[in-house]
Amino acid sequence: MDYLGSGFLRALVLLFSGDPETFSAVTTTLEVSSLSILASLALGIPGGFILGYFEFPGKKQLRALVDTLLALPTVVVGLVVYAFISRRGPLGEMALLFTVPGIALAQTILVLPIVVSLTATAVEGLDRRLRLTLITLGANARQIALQTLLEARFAVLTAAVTAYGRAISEVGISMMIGGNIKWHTRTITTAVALETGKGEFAMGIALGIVLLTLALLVNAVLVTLRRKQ
Amino acid sequence: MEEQPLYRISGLRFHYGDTFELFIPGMEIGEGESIGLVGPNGGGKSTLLKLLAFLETPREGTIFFLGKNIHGTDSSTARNVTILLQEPYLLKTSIFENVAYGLRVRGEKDRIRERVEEALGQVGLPFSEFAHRKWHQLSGGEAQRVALASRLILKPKALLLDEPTASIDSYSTYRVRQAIVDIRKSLRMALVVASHDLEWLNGAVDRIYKIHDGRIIGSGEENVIPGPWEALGDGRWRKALEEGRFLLAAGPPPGRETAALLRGTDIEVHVAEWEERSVENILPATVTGMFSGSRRKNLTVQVDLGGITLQAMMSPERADHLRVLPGKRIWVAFPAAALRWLQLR
Amino acid sequence: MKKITLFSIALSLFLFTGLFAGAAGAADQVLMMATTTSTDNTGLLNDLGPMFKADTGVELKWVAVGTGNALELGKNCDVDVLLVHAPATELKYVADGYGVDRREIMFNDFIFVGPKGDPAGVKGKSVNEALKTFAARKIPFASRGDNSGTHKMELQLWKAAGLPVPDKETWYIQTGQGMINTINIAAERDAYTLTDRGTFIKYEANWKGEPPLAIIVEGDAALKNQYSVIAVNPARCNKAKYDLATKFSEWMASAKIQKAIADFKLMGKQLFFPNAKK
Repeated sequence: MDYLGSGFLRALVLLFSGDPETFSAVTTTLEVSSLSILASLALGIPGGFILGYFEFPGKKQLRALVDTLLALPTVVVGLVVYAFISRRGPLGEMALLFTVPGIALAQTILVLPIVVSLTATAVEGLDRRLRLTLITLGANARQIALQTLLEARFAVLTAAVTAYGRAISEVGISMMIGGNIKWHTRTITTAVALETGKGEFAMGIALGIVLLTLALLVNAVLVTLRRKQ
Repeated sequence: MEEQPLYRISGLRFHYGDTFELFIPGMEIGEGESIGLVGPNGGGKSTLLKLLAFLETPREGTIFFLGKNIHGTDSSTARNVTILLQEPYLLKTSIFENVAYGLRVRGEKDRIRERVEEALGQVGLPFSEFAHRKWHQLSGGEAQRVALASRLILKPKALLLDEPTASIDSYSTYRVRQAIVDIRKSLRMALVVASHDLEWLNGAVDRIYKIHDGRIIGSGEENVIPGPWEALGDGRWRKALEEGRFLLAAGPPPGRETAALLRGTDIEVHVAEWEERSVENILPATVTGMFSGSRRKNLTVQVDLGGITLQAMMSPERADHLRVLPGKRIWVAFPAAALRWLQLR
Repeated sequence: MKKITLFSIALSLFLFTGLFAGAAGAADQVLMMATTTSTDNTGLLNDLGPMFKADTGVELKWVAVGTGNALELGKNCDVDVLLVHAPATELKYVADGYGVDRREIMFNDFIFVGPKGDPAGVKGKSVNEALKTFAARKIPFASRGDNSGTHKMELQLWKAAGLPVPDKETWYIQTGQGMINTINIAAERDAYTLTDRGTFIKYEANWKGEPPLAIIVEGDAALKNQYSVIAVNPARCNKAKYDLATKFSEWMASAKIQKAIADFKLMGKQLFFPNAKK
């Protein structure tokens, strides 16, 4: 069982030889996860802010629902989204099945609860003196809301990192919605699943290491961003 | 035209739960006037300050600010007032942006840098050294001074301070106090400050209110002696002190727990025990502090009676004659009839 | 100011991915196919896909899933053409109106593989005898259990042997996984299993010719594994590219491609045998 050793060596070769298949899977993975993260942040940060900042009837129930959705299995999201975007589904006209935007759409649904929940928690967890301070310095309601979100930015960044980790590592949605089509929708995780299915375990581990390297780079960028603030 | 007071309070009531109620029947604060608030923690000082800052809304009664009834939503008027909370909160950004924040939300763009530099200078923080720092790169005292600078830059009509020096180092305390003195020299700014430090308040403010159990119970010269009281049967009531001693009052109190008031000028201080039948209370005490107010001729001597602290007033000459110094054992004397029951409402 | 840096990075990322999406969208004619894992895992389609593009200018995209799943994708009009291997089911599928123009392209065969020492002693016997021995002696047997073409074939073989499907028997291991994984599980559990020959050759290649399992039963007429191309019915699915599907079907049956299929070898062994009718 020298899968790990040979997998590590293969990973180095794949990374440094510019293997076109691996490169294609890497760019597809980045494309899909970046699209889904941007969409989920665009929707989830305002959503999480509203959930954490304002008081409204049904807030507790909505919060419980969002927290429950954190446990969404990827295959269930995949199935539900498939049912919608299949050509015979209600959104079939958009031809999203087996495309990068299709995977990104389903991943957005997968990670949106993470962004909403962590943002809401971050906003709720802010110091109670913040609001009083902003009022007494003369901020109006809009300025208070904006500054509150800014004060929560580190926690929101954490939400983005967590969501990115979930998006980049999931396989169920990418397989079901993307179809693992070579050169088009094959992501690193579906490639790992394929190699495993072919019995090429060392190649699977090599791709796994490539994925981790990618995640490391993304995290390094975010850590630098955070340090600069 | 008759000048409007800055604040006019009438019939103000505010509740926290069922147990605490703040009630202020009437109170006025003029422009440029300075008020000190003293009294035990939980007595209502912070609540009154938050009401004056329009951070809380009265349940009953009104607070007129320059003749206008403010409901807290009127931010243009509320922007004339700013409060420094007991524990400062700094925004998670640079010191410069913290100090400039109030100007930015007002949409002001003129000379921001100069004004930040001036405000930091007022609290003794050199601009070049501090402006670029982050909120977490400060000591507690420096943070408090930054918070104060971010209020001073607004040049408010009323500056409200809640225990501004309660938890900071002595140098920062000095800088905060100096900044308050300096700005009041250059600006006609009303000041309302809650503090435990009577010595400083006596020198810094025009008037002192003592707040106890949600009521203003005097000007600060009166001592508050809490219950419980027990009847002696001869019309007199007593409160137990430490070491088996008692303090006597002429009863009956409205309730066993009612506090009594005792004016500092009614307390005589002696260096030895002596016999005088007409004075019921002759008790040993320790001097814990002495201070003089700029506005008053008299010296305030703070004494510990074993369980309660009283402030006695005396002339500087007498204090000098008796050689009263902190730590010295003395005797205090006052008649039972000098204790007046605190009448609430 | 920090806000702006974050935002600009997000924006540039977005534009970057937008470029990608634009490039992907600019593809020419595309034929979408659902096929079974065996054609993909062996690498056959990796050879045929570029050839199809060179010959016709049409890009072949495929998703490799179990036959059951592939047929379902066709039913939902999500693909244009199918390359599957479950003849009985296919005929019903066409009869039900989901597919048209079923054309047999090639075959390989199924084999029973098992531990090298053949503990059940069924080497060289017929399929029926082997299955009866497994059932009688409770010999561990690994089944795909995933409604794939191979699974359908296995169920058919139990039926042909006059035996009930040993669904709840302790010796009957239903993996619910792909062929290679199922073979691996069989190897770990000293079990027999049914596999297509192509996948087993690939499995042998992974073990560099020294696998723990060996071919036990082969050559029985019942073990023929027929692959066919079926076009998705354009009458049901108006978006289905029937013209391209027909082009693909005819191309697969052409002499040139039939030869290419015959020439496709792994470890020097032929995996698929072309048998398209002219």
